[in-house]
Amino acid sequence: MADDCSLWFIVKTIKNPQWFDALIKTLGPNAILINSDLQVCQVYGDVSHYVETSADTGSTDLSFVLKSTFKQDVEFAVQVAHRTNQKFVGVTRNNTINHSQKFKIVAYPLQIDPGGEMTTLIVFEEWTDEAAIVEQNDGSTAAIDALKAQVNALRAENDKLEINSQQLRETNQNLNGILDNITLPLIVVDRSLNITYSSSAAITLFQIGNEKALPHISSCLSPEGFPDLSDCVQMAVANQSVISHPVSNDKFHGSLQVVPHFSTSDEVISATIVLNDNTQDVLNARDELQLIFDNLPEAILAIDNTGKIVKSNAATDRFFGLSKGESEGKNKYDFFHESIRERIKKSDIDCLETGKPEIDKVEQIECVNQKEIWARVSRIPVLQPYQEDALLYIVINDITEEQKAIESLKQSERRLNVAMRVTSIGIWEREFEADEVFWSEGIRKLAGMEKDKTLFGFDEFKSHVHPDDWAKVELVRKNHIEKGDPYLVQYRFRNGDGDYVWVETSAQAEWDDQGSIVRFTGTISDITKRRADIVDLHALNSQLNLASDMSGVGYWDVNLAEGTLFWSEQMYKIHGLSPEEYSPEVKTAVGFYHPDDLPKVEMLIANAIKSCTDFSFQARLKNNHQGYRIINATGKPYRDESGRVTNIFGVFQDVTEVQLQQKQLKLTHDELTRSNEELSRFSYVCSHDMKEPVRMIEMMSSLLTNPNFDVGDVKRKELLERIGSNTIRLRAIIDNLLAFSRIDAKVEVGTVNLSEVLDDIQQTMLPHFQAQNASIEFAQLPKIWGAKIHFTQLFQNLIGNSLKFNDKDKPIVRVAAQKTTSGWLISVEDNGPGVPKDARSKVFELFSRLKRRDEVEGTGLGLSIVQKIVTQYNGEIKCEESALGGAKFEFSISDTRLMNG
Amino acid sequence: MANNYVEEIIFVDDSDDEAFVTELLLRKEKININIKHFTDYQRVIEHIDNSASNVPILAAFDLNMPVQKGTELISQLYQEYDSSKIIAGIFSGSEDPKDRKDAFEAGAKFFIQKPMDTQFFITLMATLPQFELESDPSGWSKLLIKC
Repeated sequence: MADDCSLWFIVKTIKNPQWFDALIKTLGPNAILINSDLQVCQVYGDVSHYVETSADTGSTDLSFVLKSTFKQDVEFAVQVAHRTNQKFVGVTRNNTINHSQKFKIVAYPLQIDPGGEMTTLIVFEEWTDEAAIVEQNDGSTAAIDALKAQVNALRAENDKLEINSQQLRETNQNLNGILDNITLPLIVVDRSLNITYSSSAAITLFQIGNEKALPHISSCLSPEGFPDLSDCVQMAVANQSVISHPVSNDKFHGSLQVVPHFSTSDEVISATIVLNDNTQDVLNARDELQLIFDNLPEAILAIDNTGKIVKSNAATDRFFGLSKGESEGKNKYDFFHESIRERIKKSDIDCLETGKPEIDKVEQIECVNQKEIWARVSRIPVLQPYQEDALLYIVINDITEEQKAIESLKQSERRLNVAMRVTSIGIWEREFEADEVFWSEGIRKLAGMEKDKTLFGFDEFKSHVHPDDWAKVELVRKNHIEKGDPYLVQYRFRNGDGDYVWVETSAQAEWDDQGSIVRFTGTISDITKRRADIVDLHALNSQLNLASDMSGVGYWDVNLAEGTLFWSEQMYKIHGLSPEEYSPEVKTAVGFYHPDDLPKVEMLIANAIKSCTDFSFQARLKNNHQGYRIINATGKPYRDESGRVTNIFGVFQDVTEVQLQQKQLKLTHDELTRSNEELSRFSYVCSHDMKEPVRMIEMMSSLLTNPNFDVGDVKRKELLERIGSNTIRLRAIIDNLLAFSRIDAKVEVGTVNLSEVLDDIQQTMLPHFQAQNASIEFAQLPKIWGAKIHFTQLFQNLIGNSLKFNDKDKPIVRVAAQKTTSGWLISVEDNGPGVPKDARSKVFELFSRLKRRDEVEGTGLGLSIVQKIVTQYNGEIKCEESALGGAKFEFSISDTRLMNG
Repeated sequence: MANNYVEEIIFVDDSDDEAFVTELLLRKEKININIKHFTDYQRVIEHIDNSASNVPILAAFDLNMPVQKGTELISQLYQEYDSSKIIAGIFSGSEDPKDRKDAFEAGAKFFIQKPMDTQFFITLMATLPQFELESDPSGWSKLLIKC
């Protein structure tokens, strides 16, 4: 206890030198007082055994004053006492005098004044050998001998230990040499935590001081960012394990490691404190991080609790619309729109105060630079090691596009859901060959299944399909997989009420990169109503087609928006085409119109579209087999809700035959009209011209037969003669009328040689020619297809007229023919009186006469008969003045094989 | 107003039979009027021009004649003379209303059916009131014209 309290005691007594001397005598008496610089301050008692007396250099340095044999041990004792502030007891020996002579050295740390310099009092005492004491006290020789033998053995052992000790010392010196050269901060402490070794780097770092005596570990000053060394060592010793503590400041980054050393009995005898320097690595890592920080697309900024931007990357500058480096030092909140400033500020402060990071919070942000965005914001509060205030790291990730996509997706999903609900379309999905099928709400509703369950067994699905339709469904699926045919099938599906409804499934398989099917996704829609409508439509369509076929009416439809054209079956027939030969399209369909009709048709349809009114036209349309056909078209433009014309519907009717019939009918009608008129005229003139001689005969007879009236003999004879001439005239009229009516009768037709006809007439009329001294001239005349009787009558009448009305001495009749493009032009002319110009058309009328009957006998039917024959052969006749001076009758005869009647 | 006898009637017809029969008919009906038969219009003109009659000349034209119809001739006639000189009309076998209409349009003063017998004159008197048939005790009749 006295030893433990010695320091206190010394401190108290040092103020009184007498007491100090008395203390030295008590402790010593042979002692040396050494200051902290290891200079000898005072010597007490007899220390001649220990100090170098032979070479007095006048130096007070302990290493010079002490004998070399004690030097190391004394210096060690001084350092320990000095460092631990506790008494240190050690042993030393004087090798040069006698190797058995040992000395005890006790080092007392002394502080002369409180807060003053630390000194050490070294007290030397002679070492008393225990064995020698035993030898002196026991008188038994045997025992003494035995003891001596033991002593010698011990000595021998001691010598060995000496040698080992020497070796250890040398090793120790080598170690010290190594340790002195290392730059690593390293401290070794003993079990009392006195520093027994400290590398120069450690001395500098922990400001251990340069005094010879190494201090206790608690006197080390830990730099900023370092833990208390004493605490660390004590923890390692207490735990008997290695502890490692990260250390960091602005100059140094690494770790502090305390390694306890154990004795053979597992007691802690010392500990080593080592500092691992990772500063360079940390700096390198910091540079790399800085590079990443600067180049990250996300805006990363650190703010203090006022919102001041302490640190920011380039992305932050861009985000706020600033030039590089401009954001640092500014207040973050100034960049946000007033309306959201407080909200953001509150979020930041909350995070800083709670110290809890806030990760990936999605916020809508509006900046003062008019930038409105969706952002994912992370807030990470960080307590800076050397700063009192925490910083808030903020990462802003612009996810506007992503958010838009999400919104769009949500919108799409919403629309899809609505669409599915509205259209009663359900979606299903089945992993390939999986046992379960996903059914959307639509299908579940249709099948009357549980509302919340979405997965159903495949057998469940199969049980809903009508057994007769299952093979069809499977076939469609198989063909889709194997041939890539569309997965589209209609079948009967049992609904929740147990009734079968018609549904349509449309699906698509998904293949992976290896070409294997992954899943099927498809829809099921209830088409019962649609199917019923289609059945009705089919029926209507069949009726329409039947009506169309029967009436020969084709219909078409132009979709203006899509530019497509539809043709009904009959349309193909009208064009003489088949659906295999031609696919209707507007561009090519207009090419079927006759080029002369197309502009009219295009104009009509364009006007109809413009005014949205009905249209109709007649045009010629090319038929693939029959040339141009005539069609009647009617049509109508159709408008959508907005009033825009979307379709033109039209109907074609092939009226070619009808037109031909109408044309024929018109011809017949005209002919009938003409015939009727002729008949009417015929009957009229008959009634007049035939009535005339009859009336005459009747009157004359009446005069002759009247009993009260005597006409006299002369007149009676004249009356009888006149009755006779009227009777002859009546007969001539009847003969001519018969001839006239016979023209229409069926007669034998063939090739008629007109020259032969003329020859015959010449023969027949020879007496007339001779009587009038007349002549007839005709060259070679053509052969014509027709009835000989007609041409005989024709020429007889014309030549007869030429002779009958001729007043010349030598009447001449000339007949000629000339070829025309369509047939022949034949003329009969004479040198008679001719026909007055104004009477030339009238001469062909029935019973028309230019001469009085008393001048020239005639019925007035001759030229009417001629005209009728010419007309019969599609020709025309006219009366002109002849070069011979008389009349010239010229008529055309068509050179085609016209059938009589 | 004086009553004058119509001595003759100009009879224009292409039929000689008609003229011959008419003469016999008038004799049989005891109508004392001469038939002046013409077949040529030119001769008619000449006759009119040479006439010294102080009363209008009565002329009857046949409708259907070979060269020119009676209506055409009446139309020509009234281009040269007025109705105070000549009273011309049609006598015809036609009963066609159109012929009648055409005739009056051409200027004809009457349109009476053939033959020219007592009925002809009765119709003439009905059409033209200035004419009157006057009979004498011997049974012969004369045509009077008031002017």
